[in-house]
Amino acid sequence: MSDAIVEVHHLVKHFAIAKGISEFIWGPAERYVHALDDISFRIRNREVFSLVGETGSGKTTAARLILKLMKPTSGKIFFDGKDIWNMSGHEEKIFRKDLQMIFQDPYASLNPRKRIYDIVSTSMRAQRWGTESERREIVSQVLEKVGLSPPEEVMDRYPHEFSGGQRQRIGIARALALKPKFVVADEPVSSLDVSIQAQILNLMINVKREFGITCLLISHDLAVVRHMSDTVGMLYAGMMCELAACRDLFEAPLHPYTRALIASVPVPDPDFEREEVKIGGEVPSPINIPQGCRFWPRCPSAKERCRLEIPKMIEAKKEHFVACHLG
Amino acid sequence: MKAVDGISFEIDRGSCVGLVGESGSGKSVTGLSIMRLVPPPGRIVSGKILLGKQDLTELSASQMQKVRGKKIAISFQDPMTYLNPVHRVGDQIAEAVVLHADVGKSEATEKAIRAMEKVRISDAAARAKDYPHQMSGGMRQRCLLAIALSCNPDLLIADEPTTSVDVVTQAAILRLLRDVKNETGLSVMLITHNLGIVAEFAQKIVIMYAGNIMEIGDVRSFFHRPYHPYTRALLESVPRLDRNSHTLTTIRGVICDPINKPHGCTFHPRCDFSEEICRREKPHMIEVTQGHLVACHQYG
Repeated sequence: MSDAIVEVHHLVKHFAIAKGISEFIWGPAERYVHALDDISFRIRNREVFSLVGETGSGKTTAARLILKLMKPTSGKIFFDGKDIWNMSGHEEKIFRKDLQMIFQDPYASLNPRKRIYDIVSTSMRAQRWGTESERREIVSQVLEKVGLSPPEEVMDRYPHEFSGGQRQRIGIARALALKPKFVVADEPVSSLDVSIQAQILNLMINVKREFGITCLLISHDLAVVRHMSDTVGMLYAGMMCELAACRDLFEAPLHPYTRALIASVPVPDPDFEREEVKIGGEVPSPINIPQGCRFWPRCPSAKERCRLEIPKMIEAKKEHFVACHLG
Repeated sequence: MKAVDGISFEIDRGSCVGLVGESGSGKSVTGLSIMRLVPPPGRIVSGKILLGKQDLTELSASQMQKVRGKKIAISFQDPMTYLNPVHRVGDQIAEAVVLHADVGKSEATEKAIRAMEKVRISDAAARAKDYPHQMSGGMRQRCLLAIALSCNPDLLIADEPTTSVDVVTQAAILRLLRDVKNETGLSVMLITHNLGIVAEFAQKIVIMYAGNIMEIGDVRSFFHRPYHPYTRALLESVPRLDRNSHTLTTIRGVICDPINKPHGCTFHPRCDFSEEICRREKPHMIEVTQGHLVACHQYG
């Protein structure tokens, strides 16, 4: 319990489909997008925890809730033991300093009209931290840390003067400026060229080790997840279907969806043999969700019970949780 | 600015060639060039594109119109950009049919539904009446393939056909392409940055970097023993599902500026093995083993 920096308890997030004027006349919307339905997990101090899922799985919603960018429909989120929706002003200020984010699109996440110095020092200004020269010193150090040098020259330039990989480094520098405890990295390398991805992934691993940061990695790329993670939580259509240590999940996946996903990832080896797992269909609409297990319409092993009853997360093996009636 | 600078390769009938490269490699421009769809002011400056015995660079615009879509078809990466949002998908596929086959509208609509069934869209007759925004990403991608395959082309150029869809849909779409290829003898040029897809699906692989071909090989030979320093580094820099965490090799530097390309070998500034000759002279393609060619002075 005490080594968890973030705890999520029974988190639910529904978005009402507002109909505008008709809602005004006839009353509140009755249809909701079920982005997340009752997910719970803990992130241990200094680990890399990955939330994996396809589009519509709810992983970005979960990240936004943890970052307190929106309010849950129900459920609680604890950071360093404190309920994030029940903090004093002072605690909130520390929370905002200790949690930072790295975004997916290095072209959209840097303000094109600001210099690199202004971008990287954003959180310092928001926190009213330090004098001008102290800020310049930190920005210089952190730019050096992410491999952008000479920092004095980099600081005064604009984002358009840098490549995608370099911009992502700037995004990382911005997140690290005030030495946060926890960083959410939302698809940090998916917009980058293959040869640049490796540079950024290696950088993230080094930085995490040096700064002692805990990381929540959001990704759909299983190879990246396998490379980076300590613990992995698999999301499907707003529910968590499996949660385990990285090695356990990839070597012995229990949930049929996890198995299908792992079997579908192409491997750069033409002689690599594995069982083909074909699943048809599409991810269910988050508005009209199936009644029982969300995966049953596509599951090769589905039984009658799966159609009727939502499976609960159970500890199938030590520290390996799965939500499946067959487990 | 030379997007593609002196490349040569062959696609055998009924087989798939994977054209692999990162941004600025020229892979997409190669695909567009074969279709003679390079947007102006770009143009093909020299070279031949032989479809069978016919050189496509010698055809007039109206002759090329007959080839495009009928003999060679192309499907693009982002279906939402390439499907018209205000027309039903069935009509868009039928439009391709009408252009190339001498049929009326109702027969074209029938053929469009058949094409949608061919790409495994279930309930095709109903789905044909949908608009693109009503479909999922995977379905839209299948519609783009339906347009491309509707006139039974000899060659399909598939530019990043699975980048915008999820892994499970990606596997289904690749299986679909493989089955169509095996059933009809379709040749495929698969343009991608994903080495995994090429390993599973292609018979030949062409690696491009900054407008040049670095290496060509039969897929098995290639993955078993890549020769070019760029290719080797690329293979080692990719995180893999079939291996536990290993340190990723990085390629130092950034992809070169397409306007100010380096003299000699375009890869030399980032290459750990570069020598004086690499700075001066562009390497020729040399056959190292049967069917496996590389453009590198190390093997000259």
